[in-house]
Amino acid sequence: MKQVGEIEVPDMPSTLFVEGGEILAPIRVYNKKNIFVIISDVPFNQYLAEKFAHVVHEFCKKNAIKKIIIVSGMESINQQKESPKIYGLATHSVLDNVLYNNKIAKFLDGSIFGTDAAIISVFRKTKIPALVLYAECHAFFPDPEASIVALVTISKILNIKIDTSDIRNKMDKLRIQHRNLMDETLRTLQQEKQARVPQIYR
Amino acid sequence: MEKEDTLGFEMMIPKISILFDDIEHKILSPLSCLREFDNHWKLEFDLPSVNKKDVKITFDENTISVEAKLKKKYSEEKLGKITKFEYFKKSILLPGKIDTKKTSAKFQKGRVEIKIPKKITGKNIKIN
Repeated sequence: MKQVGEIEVPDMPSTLFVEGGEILAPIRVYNKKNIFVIISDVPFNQYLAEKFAHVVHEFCKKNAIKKIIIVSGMESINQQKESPKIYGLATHSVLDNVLYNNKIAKFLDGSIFGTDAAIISVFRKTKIPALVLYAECHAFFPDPEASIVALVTISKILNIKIDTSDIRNKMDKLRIQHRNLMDETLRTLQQEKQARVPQIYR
Repeated sequence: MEKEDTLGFEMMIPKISILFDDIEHKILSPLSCLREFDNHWKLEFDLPSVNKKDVKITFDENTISVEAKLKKKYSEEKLGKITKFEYFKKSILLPGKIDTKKTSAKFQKGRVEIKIPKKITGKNIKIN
């Protein structure tokens, strides 16, 4: 895919990455044919996530995007299973068929907090439907196996080929390499502790 | 299913310790997380590229340490210099005393999970 743009989120601290002498923005947009991919190399807290979702929504309106697929993780209760399972949650019922046709279990009961909740809350109020894929994963360690499951599911939904062999071959290396990003993500989540989420009576 | 000692969202995030790699001794600091349950703690270390036989876990009264040798050296560029790491090593201080006799560990998918029962001490209070 080719990089076609960057996403700027208001109030986000200035961050840039340098890769092979090239300056990269932390949130980038890639495109091939009629598919756009937005990748963020920085974790968000829930306040920035809401602003991020609004910016993405504007981008989708400008580019006549028909549906959005968001990939997330869900803590695996039984980590001994051979392959992680994936669940789907649609903001609009029009996407329920996507779950059914691709044999993706529907996320039926549970609570969503923080960043995910902020993003879903924005999209469920818009006219662009979003499908959130929750791959079972380890909640606090990098989990490339879960990423592969998510990618395979996306490839089925969009009817495209995604080569996951590179991730499969480098799983251990990726887990070591992404320790610091995971560490930063967890620290961002710890800051959200102060968000004072109400108790849930269920 | 074990019940995590949670009080809403605030308790869901486990204790995370800062990562410090030891370049001089070629030691990586693994990710770890410590979660508290009703009667035990669950301490996990992420040890990719490690064989079970090369993991060593030691503990004393309230500290657990893990050392592991990597299957093959991991190269990383730090401060303009390529370093080849050979080991994982980390110690975690627990918030209470450990019942060493009942502490158990398992290794799966490159992760060590240590179940540490809490040492229950104290006296009953008689209700008048």
